[in-house]
Amino acid sequence: MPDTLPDLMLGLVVIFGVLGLFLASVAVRQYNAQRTIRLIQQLEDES
Amino acid sequence: MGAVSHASFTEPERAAPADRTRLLRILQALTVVAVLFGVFMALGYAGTDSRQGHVQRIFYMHLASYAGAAVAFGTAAVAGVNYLRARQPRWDVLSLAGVEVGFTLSIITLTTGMVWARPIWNTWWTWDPRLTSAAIMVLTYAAYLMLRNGIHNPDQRRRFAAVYAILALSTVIFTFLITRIRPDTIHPTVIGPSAQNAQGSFAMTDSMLAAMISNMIVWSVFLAPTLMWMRIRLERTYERLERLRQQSLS
Repeated sequence: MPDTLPDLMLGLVVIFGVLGLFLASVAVRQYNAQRTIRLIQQLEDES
Repeated sequence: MGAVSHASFTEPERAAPADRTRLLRILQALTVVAVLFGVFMALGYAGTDSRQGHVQRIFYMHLASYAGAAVAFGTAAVAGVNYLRARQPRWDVLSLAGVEVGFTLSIITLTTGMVWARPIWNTWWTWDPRLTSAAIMVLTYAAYLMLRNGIHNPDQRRRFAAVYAILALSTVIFTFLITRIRPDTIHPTVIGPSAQNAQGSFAMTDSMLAAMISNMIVWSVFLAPTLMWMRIRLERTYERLERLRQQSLS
C-alpha cells in the first residue's frame, strides 16, 4: 500500500482551511456591520 | 445631517429576531456534530483502499463538497426563478447566498481533487474533460460575484443576477454529466460505471459506501444550508444598516 497519508493531511488542511476562510469572512463582516449599527444607534441616542 | 429621534426606529430594526438566531445556533451546533461525524466516517470507519492508500479517503469529502455545491447552486437558480416571478428582494438574497456558498464548496471540490490527483495521476492538474468542466463551473460563478458588484442599480443587479444564476446552473449539470458523455475522460465515475480510460477507480465496500452517503448527506443537508443561512443573516444585517443610514440622512 503506498504511503499517501501526507496527501490526506494536505487534503484535510485544504478542506477546513477553505471552510474556515469562508466562516471568518462572514463573521468579520457581520461583526463590522453590527458595530456600525451600534455606533449609529449610540449617536442617535446621544443626540 | 438631521438627527432622528430614538423612537423613529422600529423594533425589528433594533434587534435581530431572537427566535431565528436561536434556530440558527441550533443548526450550527448540529452541523458541527454532523461534519465531525462525516470526518469520523471517512477517516475512522471506512476501510483503507489497498492500491491508493489513505489519500483515497479525500474522495468522501471531494464528492460530498460537490453535492453541497450543487445544492447551493440549485437553490440560487430556484431563488432566481422566484425573484423573476415575484420581484421580491429576499429571493435575490437567497440566490446570492447560494452562489457564495456553492462557490466556496466547489473550490473545495477542485482543490481536494488536485490533492488526490498528485499521487494517483502523478500530476496536480490535467485538462481532462471533467476537470475542465469543473474549472469552467467555478470560473462562471466567480464571474457572477464580480459582475454582480459592478451593477449599481439594485433592480437591474437583481434581475441580472437572477438570470445569470439560472443559466449558470447548466455548468453544474454539465460537470456532473461530462464523464458519461465523453468516454476519453480519465476521471473515475462513482455513480454508474467508470469510463474505459478512468484512472484511480476503486471497488466500493459497504463501509466505503456508508462513508460516502453519510458525507453527502452531511454536506448537502447540513453544511450547505447552514452556511447559506449565515450568509443570508449577514445580508439582513447589511439591509438593516442601510435602513438606519437612510433614516439618519433623511
